[in-house]
Amino acid sequence: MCLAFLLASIMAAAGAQAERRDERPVIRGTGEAADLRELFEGGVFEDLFGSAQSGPVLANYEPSGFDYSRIDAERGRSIGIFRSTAFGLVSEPAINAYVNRVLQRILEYSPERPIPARAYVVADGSFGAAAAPDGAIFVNLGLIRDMESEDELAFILAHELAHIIRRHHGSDWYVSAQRRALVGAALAGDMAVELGQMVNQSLPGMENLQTAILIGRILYEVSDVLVAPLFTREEEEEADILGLDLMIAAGYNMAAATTLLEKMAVWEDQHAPPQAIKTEAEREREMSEAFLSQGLTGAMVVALSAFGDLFKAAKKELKKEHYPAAERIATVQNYMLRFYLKDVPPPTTDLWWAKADPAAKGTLELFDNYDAAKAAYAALNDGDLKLAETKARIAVSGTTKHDAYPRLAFYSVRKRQGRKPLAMKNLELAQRGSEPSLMLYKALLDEATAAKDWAGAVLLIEEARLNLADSPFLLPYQIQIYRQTGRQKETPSLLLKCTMEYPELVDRCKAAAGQR
Amino acid sequence: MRFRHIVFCVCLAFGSGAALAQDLKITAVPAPVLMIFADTDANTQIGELSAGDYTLPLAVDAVSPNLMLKVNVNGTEGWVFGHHVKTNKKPKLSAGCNQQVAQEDVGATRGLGAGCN
Repeated sequence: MCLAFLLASIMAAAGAQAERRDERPVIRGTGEAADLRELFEGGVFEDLFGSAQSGPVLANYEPSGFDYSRIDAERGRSIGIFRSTAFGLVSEPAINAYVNRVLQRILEYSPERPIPARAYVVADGSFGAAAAPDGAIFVNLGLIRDMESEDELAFILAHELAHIIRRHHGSDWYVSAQRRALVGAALAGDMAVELGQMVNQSLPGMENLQTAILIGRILYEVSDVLVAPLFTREEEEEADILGLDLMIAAGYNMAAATTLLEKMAVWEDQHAPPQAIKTEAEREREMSEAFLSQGLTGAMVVALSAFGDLFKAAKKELKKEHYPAAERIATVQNYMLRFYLKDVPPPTTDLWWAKADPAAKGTLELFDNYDAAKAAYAALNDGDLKLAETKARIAVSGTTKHDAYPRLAFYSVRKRQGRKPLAMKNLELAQRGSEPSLMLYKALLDEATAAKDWAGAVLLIEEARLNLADSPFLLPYQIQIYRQTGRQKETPSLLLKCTMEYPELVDRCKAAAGQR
Repeated sequence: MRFRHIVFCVCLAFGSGAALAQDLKITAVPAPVLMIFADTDANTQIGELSAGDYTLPLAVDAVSPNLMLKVNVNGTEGWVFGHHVKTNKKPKLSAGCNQQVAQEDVGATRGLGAGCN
């Protein structure tokens, strides 16, 4: 019964995704309706696209009629989510204003309008960017630091904007629903006692509980691979190509698209998660090992064969899940050759802070101070407290004096030095910043709970939930704090949420609830 | 080899601000033909080479502000579109996963793109 439910959930979710895709605006070529793949022909495009060439995608884009004007109603949620990625958003006003100036320049050429898009800089040193369905575009500081021209920034922003224009986020919601269904159905049994108490009735299929849990966990393993928070290959292609058109229309140098993607290829070589670069054979082997590690018996393997179609679909998804930057370069370059062969690109534009503009002082200081903070963390990990303190002092000077990343570096140094009051002072100063972040709240909550300051902890947890879009990472804290403040009745539902939606946090949630 | 214009040799316009391109080489030409121009504004086309007309890699002598590349093909100097070719450029990144204090158990930084876990 449970297995049937799981399978039905997966199929239902897949159907929902298919329906969602059908709702998307269609980029139409001349004549009959055609999708992106039908706009090109010949050569490299034969595999990627169809036959009828009719010029650049942007020139042939037919507005969908979708009303984008209110998509930003949910903006607070995405901001909260990105604040909870670790160190939150960068508050330095000049860099935020600059990135948004570039975005506005591109938005003028959007085929859908008005789109209330806005860019935010994330205090993350890695090479990445993201778009939210509410029109928010998040660009990592690490990516910005490695850009060589405004044109590269324009390509990234245009690419992310294209995801918003094309409403590629349907699969994200599908993924959430799928994960909830799979994990919830499979692992709810693990919470039988709590559930039984809550709903005061027995659960169906209890006799097969262990089998259900086991297979549920295996399916979760598969689903976890499937739910990587990436757009599909097709969506990335669309975003690259529409983004390229947008940046060219906005007067930027198209060659910057490939120089940026070349950097991304280097990043992928250095940092790609193993699953993204594995061959299919390697993936199959890993999946098999995952099954075996769950202690599958021969009978269960036979039972699992019933899920053959699902696993085939899973492998298909795996293949298209990752779209390597090296392949993206080829696609983008061929598109340029197809439609912009003899277009003379304009000179590239220097990044604003590279122009020795006095107004860029704050931004340059931001870069230097985050570097200093990184060096402080490194020195701390190496045990060089003196160097760590020196770097941390630099890190919190000037424009970044309230930023979480450098402040937490100094806090960590002070903690390691055994200077608790000074450590706490750093947390206090970070709290005065305009950008809250998960790591700051984590440090604050750790201190409050360690000191058994439950009154303070209650205030903190509610503030954190509000600012961090109710980040799941807060669940264990929430459970612990509620238990200590007379709100025990609320903890079973939190524990259930933890189990159903975030099984990776189950152990911590159980510990917080006093269970082991 | 088809050179449409012969008179260009030493009077090539080095785009103002053209940067030296140390060890930069063209390693592939995905474009159907390699168009060569006398100037970085691509006003005057001086050559159109097919694959058999040049030997890769081609050394890049300079890079213009609009990312055109100065090459010398068989004694003929000119500029080619940067987006028509592939080069051996291997960017060096400073980006990395956010450094934190070791043993952090929650909220480890994760790249928005990929790679940080």
